[in-house]
Amino acid sequence: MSCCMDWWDPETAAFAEKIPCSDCVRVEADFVLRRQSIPDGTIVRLGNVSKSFGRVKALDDITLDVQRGEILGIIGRSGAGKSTLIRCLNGLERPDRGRVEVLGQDIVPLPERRLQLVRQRIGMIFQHFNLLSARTVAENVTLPLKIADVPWQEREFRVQDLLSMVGMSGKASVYPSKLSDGEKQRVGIARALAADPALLLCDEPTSALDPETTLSILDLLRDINRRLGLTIVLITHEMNVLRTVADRVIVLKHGRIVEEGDVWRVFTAPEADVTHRLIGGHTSDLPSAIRTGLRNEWTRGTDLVLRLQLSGSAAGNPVLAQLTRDLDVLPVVLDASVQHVQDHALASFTVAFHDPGELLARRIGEYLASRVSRLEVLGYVQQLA
Amino acid sequence: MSSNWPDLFIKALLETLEMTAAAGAIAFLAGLPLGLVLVATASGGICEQRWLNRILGAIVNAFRAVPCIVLLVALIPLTRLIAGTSIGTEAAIVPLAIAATPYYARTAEVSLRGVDHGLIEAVKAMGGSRWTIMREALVPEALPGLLSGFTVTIVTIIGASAMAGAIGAGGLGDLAIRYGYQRFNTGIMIGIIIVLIALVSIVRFGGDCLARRFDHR
Repeated sequence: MSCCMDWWDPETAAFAEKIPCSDCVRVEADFVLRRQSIPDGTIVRLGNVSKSFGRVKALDDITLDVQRGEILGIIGRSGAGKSTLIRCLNGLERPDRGRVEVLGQDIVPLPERRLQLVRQRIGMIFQHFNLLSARTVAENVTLPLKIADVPWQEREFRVQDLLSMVGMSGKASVYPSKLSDGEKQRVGIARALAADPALLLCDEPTSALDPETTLSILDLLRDINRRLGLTIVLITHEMNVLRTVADRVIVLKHGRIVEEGDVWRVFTAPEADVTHRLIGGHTSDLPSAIRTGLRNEWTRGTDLVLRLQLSGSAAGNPVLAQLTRDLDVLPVVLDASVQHVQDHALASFTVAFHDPGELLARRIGEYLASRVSRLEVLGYVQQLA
Repeated sequence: MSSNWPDLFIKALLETLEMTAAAGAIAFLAGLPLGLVLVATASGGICEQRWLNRILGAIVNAFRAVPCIVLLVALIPLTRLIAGTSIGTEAAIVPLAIAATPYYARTAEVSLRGVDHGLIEAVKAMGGSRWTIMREALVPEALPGLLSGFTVTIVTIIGASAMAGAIGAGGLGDLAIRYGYQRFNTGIMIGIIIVLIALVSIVRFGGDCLARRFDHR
């Protein structure tokens, strides 16, 4: 026992460089397993993390914090470095440079055995579920408990609890091959939560699922986050996933953070180009006849096409009606949607004005610019039907 | 002349079974760990050791390259050291096991290598040690392949044991050559062939059943 005190320094909350005896390892395991030992505030802190594979920079000077209890979404195209980033958080990938502090401890220099103890406190779910096919559902969920040396009498209760939490109580003795994809991910979640983790990593958890199942899995994650106060880091390439579940978003491009902020802010007012494209902004949702017919120059007989977005309280304003009344123009709605992101409304319209002429076009623009959150002139298109 | 046929037959069958069982057991107990080491030390494996991997691979290949009949006689000094004798059934077990171990190690390696890397990563992410990864993911997931690979190894040993007559180990193959071939006794030849076919079929059937029993994919 005394030797443990020597190498565990509560002051700096760090392990001194000493090889622990078997007793120490047990005490350390106890320490990392005690739930109250999760510090308040920052669960994970990345400082200037870089990682290259050969000549490809997967992560380039990433600095970020993950706060306790939040759901942080990391989004980017494939190859943006999302996977590498999330795998750095549990030491599956060692960065070339920088610090990865998990629960106040830099895990980069840790030897494999200590890293294993840290990993026992971090749950992870995967795109392809990665359930052991030779083990039943219950055995899969038991495995992290076995690894964490939880006594077997306790394991059984815990597994039952976990399975009922994810709605899989009836399938305890079923083999994973008999489950649907959604059910597999539920088991994956139960397994990831088994050892009472301080952090849950989700590696594209819904990318292999159909839209309906995706929603149910995201609901489950949200529910777990709310009920257990569990911190979740989730990577995805689908903005919709983040819109449903995340509190905060980080947008990655070529291994760099290009945008960061609350999900409703990033969603309603994206700054980076990548974010725009990931959200599906610009002209992607216009009918192809209009999209391809758009011109930048006004010519006689062409229609002006605008996109306007109203976010937050502005979404409740009858802007188009006011415009009709005040300027006596008749906007044609080409596309419209109202979405809610974390109780923030986002209304988006694409409208066309029939042959407004240069002067009226400018007045419409000025009128709207002061009343909407975001105005975009998409261009002019030859006579809409 | 034919009064002692059943005795000879049973004796030969028992010798074949003894050689196969002993060599098979050794091949399994030595080949599976060897296969695990080959997979674990390969590049991208759970404890990458390229040089060890290359050396082990070369040794395995070397033994696989030498025909069993050559091993039977070439290993006589080693056999004498281990079994205390260089002739007889026990003596044949040594070279048979040494021939079968690399064979099974390669078969096991192929099955183990086929285990989805995601599963290994999942156990690793739970904080599992290398040993846990092997015990909980690699071996159970590869078990159907490991079992059918073992079946093939047993069948190969049965075939190789026919050559063990060369060092006086007896067995069905030896009986077939000495009585069936050299004494032109077609009856006993046919009998031995039938018994060998039955033996191999039973091993195959048993192995397939076992493999299917553990296959939950």
